Amino acid sequence: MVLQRLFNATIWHFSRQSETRSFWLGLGIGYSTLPICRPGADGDGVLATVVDSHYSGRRARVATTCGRVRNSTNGAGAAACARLHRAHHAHARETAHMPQGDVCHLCSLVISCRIRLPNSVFAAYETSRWRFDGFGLLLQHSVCSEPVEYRYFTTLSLAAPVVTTTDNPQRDAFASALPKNPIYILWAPSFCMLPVFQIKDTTGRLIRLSEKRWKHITSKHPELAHALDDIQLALTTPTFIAPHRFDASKRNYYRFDRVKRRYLLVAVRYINGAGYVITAFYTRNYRRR
Amino acid sequence: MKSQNVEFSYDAEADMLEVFIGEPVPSVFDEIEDDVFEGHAEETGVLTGYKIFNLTQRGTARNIKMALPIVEKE
Repeated sequence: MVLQRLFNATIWHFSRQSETRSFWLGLGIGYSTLPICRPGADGDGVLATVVDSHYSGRRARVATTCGRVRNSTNGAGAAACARLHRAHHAHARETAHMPQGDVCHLCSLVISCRIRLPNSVFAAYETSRWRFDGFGLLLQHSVCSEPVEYRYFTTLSLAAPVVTTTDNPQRDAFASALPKNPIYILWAPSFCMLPVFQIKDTTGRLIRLSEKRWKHITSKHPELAHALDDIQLALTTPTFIAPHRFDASKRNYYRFDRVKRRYLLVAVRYINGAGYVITAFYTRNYRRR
Repeated sequence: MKSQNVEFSYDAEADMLEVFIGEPVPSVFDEIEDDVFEGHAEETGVLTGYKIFNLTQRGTARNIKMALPIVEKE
């Protein structure tokens, strides 16, 4: 089921326009009946949801919409999605790095290309890193010609993309027709950055700490520069969790440090059933509400 | 008295205002009001900043008292 896991994965959590407006960025290729992104409602009313994916010539295309049409693979839903998609592509032409029409700014469309890019394109990458995110292999590159934070290319290269499955012979036949070692190019806006960590807290929510916030925390709180593990512990095994007085979507996770004899406070905002770290610092008291 | 930089940082997504006074030093922030934390340097006890969560949701009538250092220039 490796193939399904790779293709059915929610790759990572990112935001557009601001760091914390959340989308799920999905990746998919080849299966017209396989939803790629996790459906659901976003707290801000937007969730990128794959409603259709298909091959067209040499190019695989995954259509997403912004939550207005969900899980529609045929009929009126698909037609509505197509209209949205065409409208979004009016913005895509501003992007020079990918073929026109392959990038959707508004719904953060992910397009996977089966074409191999020349080496000169890859030579433009200055940094890269990769990891397994629990769903598949994820590589992230930044481009030399632009500021690191400005634009990220993510390349997912599947060494063995074709894995025989037994639950859907039609899909297996389709998968076996895929070329070996394709290169899947995903485009994502600048704000699409890998989190420093993503961890399940004691309540089962997936809590994320973004790189931007971690840099901010460590720049203003030098005492936390080596406390990343402690922050994760505060989320997974807090001494207690306290709500905010003025915002029900936020919680403070307190973990008592016996050595320092104070609490490590990790402030978290919940959104979409998940959450992200706002800030972290040491505190000595807890104000009961 | 040595002059200090005061930096205001408002995070719109988190609705959090942070005030940093002087150079960053290891500090402890204690909650002085609901969702308001005041920071003091661990070693010297000098005021180092504030963190005000949910700034826009606190209501306009709520005053937040901050003891910001004011230095007279010669």
